Amino acid sequence: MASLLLWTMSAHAIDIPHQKYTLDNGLTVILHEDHDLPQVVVNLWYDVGSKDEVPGRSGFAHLFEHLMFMGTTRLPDAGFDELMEGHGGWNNAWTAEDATDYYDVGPSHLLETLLWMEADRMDGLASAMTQEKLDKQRDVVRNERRQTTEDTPYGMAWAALPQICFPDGHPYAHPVIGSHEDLVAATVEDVVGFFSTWYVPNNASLVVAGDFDPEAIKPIIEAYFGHLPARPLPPRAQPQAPTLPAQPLTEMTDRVQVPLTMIAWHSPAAYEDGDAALDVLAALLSDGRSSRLVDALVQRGGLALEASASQYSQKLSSQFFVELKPTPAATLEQLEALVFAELQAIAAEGPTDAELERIRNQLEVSFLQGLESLQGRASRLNRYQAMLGDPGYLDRDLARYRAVTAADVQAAAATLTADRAAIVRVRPAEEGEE
Amino acid sequence: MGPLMLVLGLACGPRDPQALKEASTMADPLATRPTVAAPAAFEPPVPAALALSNGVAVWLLEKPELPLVSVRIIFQGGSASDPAAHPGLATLTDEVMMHGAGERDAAAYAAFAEQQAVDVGILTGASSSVLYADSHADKLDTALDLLADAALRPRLTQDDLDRVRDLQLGDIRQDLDDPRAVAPWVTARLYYGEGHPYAHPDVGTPDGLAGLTPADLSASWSGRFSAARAHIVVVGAVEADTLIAALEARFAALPAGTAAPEIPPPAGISDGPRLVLVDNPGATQSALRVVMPGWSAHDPDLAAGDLATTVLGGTFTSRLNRLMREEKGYTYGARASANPGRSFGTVVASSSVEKDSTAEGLTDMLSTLEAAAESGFTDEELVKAQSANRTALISAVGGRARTAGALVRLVRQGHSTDRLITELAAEQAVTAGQLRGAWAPRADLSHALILVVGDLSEIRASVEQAVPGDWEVVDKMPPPRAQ
Repeated sequence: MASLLLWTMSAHAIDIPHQKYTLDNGLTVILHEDHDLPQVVVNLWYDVGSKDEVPGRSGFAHLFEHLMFMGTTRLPDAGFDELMEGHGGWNNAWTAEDATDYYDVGPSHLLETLLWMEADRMDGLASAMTQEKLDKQRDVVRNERRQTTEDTPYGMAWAALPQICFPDGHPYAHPVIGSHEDLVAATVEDVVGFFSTWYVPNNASLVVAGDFDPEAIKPIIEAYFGHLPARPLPPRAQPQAPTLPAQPLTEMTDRVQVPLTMIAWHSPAAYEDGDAALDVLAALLSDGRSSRLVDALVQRGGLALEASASQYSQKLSSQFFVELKPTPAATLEQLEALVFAELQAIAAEGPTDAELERIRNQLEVSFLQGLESLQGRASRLNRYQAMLGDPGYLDRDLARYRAVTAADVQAAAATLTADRAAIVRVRPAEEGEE
Repeated sequence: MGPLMLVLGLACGPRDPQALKEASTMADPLATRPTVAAPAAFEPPVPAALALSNGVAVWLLEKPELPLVSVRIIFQGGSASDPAAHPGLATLTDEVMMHGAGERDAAAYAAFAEQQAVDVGILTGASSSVLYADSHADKLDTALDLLADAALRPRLTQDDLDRVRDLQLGDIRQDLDDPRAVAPWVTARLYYGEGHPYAHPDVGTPDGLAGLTPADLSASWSGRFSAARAHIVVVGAVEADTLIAALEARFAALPAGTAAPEIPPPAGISDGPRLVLVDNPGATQSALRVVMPGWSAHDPDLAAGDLATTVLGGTFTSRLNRLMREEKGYTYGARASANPGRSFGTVVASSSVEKDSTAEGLTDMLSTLEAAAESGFTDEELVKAQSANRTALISAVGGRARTAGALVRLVRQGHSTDRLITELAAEQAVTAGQLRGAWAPRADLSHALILVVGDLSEIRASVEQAVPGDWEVVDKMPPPRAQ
C-alpha cells in the first residue's frame, strides 16, 4: 500500500494526514497511518526542558531523561530496553531548552507493547526511583558531558554561550547539559518532584505513526493512558526579552589548532514574525557553495575554512549564529568585520531574485526530504503540536517561507548589527594551557 | 491477573471497545504486559537490474509516492588507489572534480546545482568513490548533467586544486584535535600495515598532499572513472525507460577502462595483541578502540558473525554497553560492529571512557570480547539480534536516499539485487551455536590491535598494569616521508 503522504504537483500542497484528539486527562493524541512498511513510531513529547530547571540544578531535565529508562515496578531495572530490543524495537530521546522528546521505533506488531511501556513509565517512574539509579545515570551524563563538550573541539565555548548571551536568571542562561557541580547536587527528591510536576498527561502529546489501524489503537491508548491523573502545571517563567550582555566579547582557549569565532544575536522566537526571514537569511549566507559567506570567504577568498549561519528557533526567544574558522590567511577579527559588512550590504540591497528563488527551491525540496522517514513525520507532527498547538501546520510552515520577500530579508539583516552582537572567540591553547 | 483483553496482540484485530473501557477502569490497567504478536510479513525490495550499452550496470528501484529521486554512481577504487607517496590524492581529486566541470567553473557549477536545488557531491571511501545527487524528480536531467560533467569532464585546474587542498588540510588539522577521528586513522595505519591500500586515512596526510599537480589529479581521475568500474543506483520517482534513455545520453561515453585491482588482505597481526598508545594531553576521557579480523561480505559465517557482533555491541542492551555504561557508568556508550568488505572484513569495538577508568574500561572491553568465545550466546540474545537487524533493514528502505545507501552497500560488496532478501533469510536461520562458532576464532586477541588515545601522563601506568605487554607510543600522524 502506498504511503499516505500527500503531494499535489499542481498546487504544491503538502500534508501529513492525521487525526488529533485529547483524552479526558489532557493527553493530546495524534495518529498518522502509513502502511508502506511494517513499522511504527511512538513519539511522546513532554513540554518541559532545561528552561524549566530551578537554580542549582542545571542539566536536570536531561539527567531526568536518562532516568526515564531506569525501570518501574512493573518493568524493573533495564526492562524497558530489554523488552523493546528483545522484539526488534529501539528508542532514544533528546532534551533541549524547551522540550524533552522520547521516541520508540519498532515493527508494527510491537505497537501495543510500546504504548504500554510509555504509559507505564508515565505512571510509575518515580515510585521506583532509587539513589543507585540516580548515581549510575549521573555518571553516564557526566561522561556524556566529557565526551560531547569537554573533549569535543570548541565544546566548552558552546557550553559557555548561554551564560554569555542571557542575563542571570533567564531560563536559557545555562547549557542543557548542565554543570558537573549541579549534576552532583541532584537528589532522589529532585527526581520525584520533577516527575510529579512535569511528567503528567496534560503536559504531553503522543504521536503514533505507521502501520496500524487507528480505530483499533484508540481504545488501547485510552486503556493505557486514560486513567493517568492530570495535575495542575506550575506557571511558566515569562522573562523579559533578553538584551545584549554587559561584556559582548569573550575570549577563550581550547585544545584546538584552528581558531573559531561565534557571533550571536538575539532574534524573534520560533514561528514569530521575522523567524522565517532569518532562516532564509541564514540560507542566503551559508547554505551551499554559492551562498554569500561560503562563496566570498571559503571558496573565493581563501580566508575561512568554514562559514555557517543558522537561526536557532526557540519558544521564548531565538538566537541567530554565525560561526567562522579562519585559514592562516585571516584573523578572527577580519572575518567578523567581513560578516558585519555583508549583513550591512544585505540590509541595504537585499538578496537578488535569483538568490531568493534558489533558497525557496532548496527549502521546498528539503521539506519533502524531511518527510521521507516515518520518524521524521512523527517528530514534525509533535513539534507543531508542542509549539503551535496544531500538528497540521506543515502547509502553513512551508507557506511562511514562500512568503518571505527580499524586503523581509533586508529587515532581518538590519537587526544583525555589530553593536547588537555577542562574540565568542576560541584560540588554540599554548602547550600546557587549559 | 490483569484484564484478559489486554493480552491480545494487535495482529488479532480490533478489540472489543467495551471490554477495553472496562479494563481501563480496573484497579491497574497496566498490570499485565501485553503479549507480542507474530511479526508482520516483510520482504525487502529488489531493484530492477538494467544496463547501459557500454555494460554499466544500473539498478532502479521505483518509489513514486513522492516526487524525489536519488542517484548514486559507484566507481570502484577509492583512496585505496592512492600512490604510496600521495595519500589523500583520490579524495582531493574527487573534491576538485566537483569544483568545476564541463562548461562551468567552480562557482558556476555550485550555483547551477544549488539554484535547481540539486544536492550533488561525492563521497570518497577506501574502496570506492560514490557520486551522488538528490533532487526533485523534475530535476533529474539537471542532476545527471551535473554528475556526468563531474565524471567525464572535470576541469582539475591549479586554482581549484590549491583552494580545495587548503580546505582538506584544514579538515585534517581539525580532525587531529578530535580523539574519535584520530583513533580510526591510527588503527588503520597499524592494523593494515605500511604499504597496504587501506593503511592511510581517506583525507590523506599533509605530507602526501604536498606537491600534487593537476597532472597528478588527472591521472587519478582517468584511472578510476571508467565504465569498467561504474555501477549506477537510482531510487525514486522515475520509470525505467525514461531513466535508461537519460543515462545512456550522458554515460555511454564513459571510457572503457579496467576493473579496480583486488584489495589484498592485510598481513594481519599474528603474535599480538599489538598494544598502542597515543597521547592526547588534557583529555578528560580516553578513546578505546579494538580492531580484529572479521568476515568478508561473502563469508558463509558472516550472518552468524554479524549477529554475534550485534549481541556484543550493536544495540543499547548489548553486552558492552550494558556493562560499561549501564552497570559501570564510566562511559556514555560502547559499541562493536562488523565491517564486511568484498574479500575480508574487520570487527571494531570502541568507547570513550572517563580517564580515571581507562584501565578498567579496557579490561572490561577485552574480557567481554574474549568471554563470548567460552560462554557462547543465548537463544534470547540471538532473537534480539535477529530482531534488531530486521528492524534496521526495514528502516534502511524507508526513504529514497536511505534506500539508495543500502543498495550502494550491496554494490560495494559485490552482491546481487536480491541480496537484502537472502541476507535477511540467512540471519533468521542462524542458531545460537553458529554464533559461537563464528565468534570464537575472532575472540583470539593475539590477532587484535588495541589502541588507547588519552592523556598518557595520567593513564599510562594503570593501562600498562591492567594489560601487560609491549605497549608502544605512536604519533597521530605517520612521520613525514623522506623526499
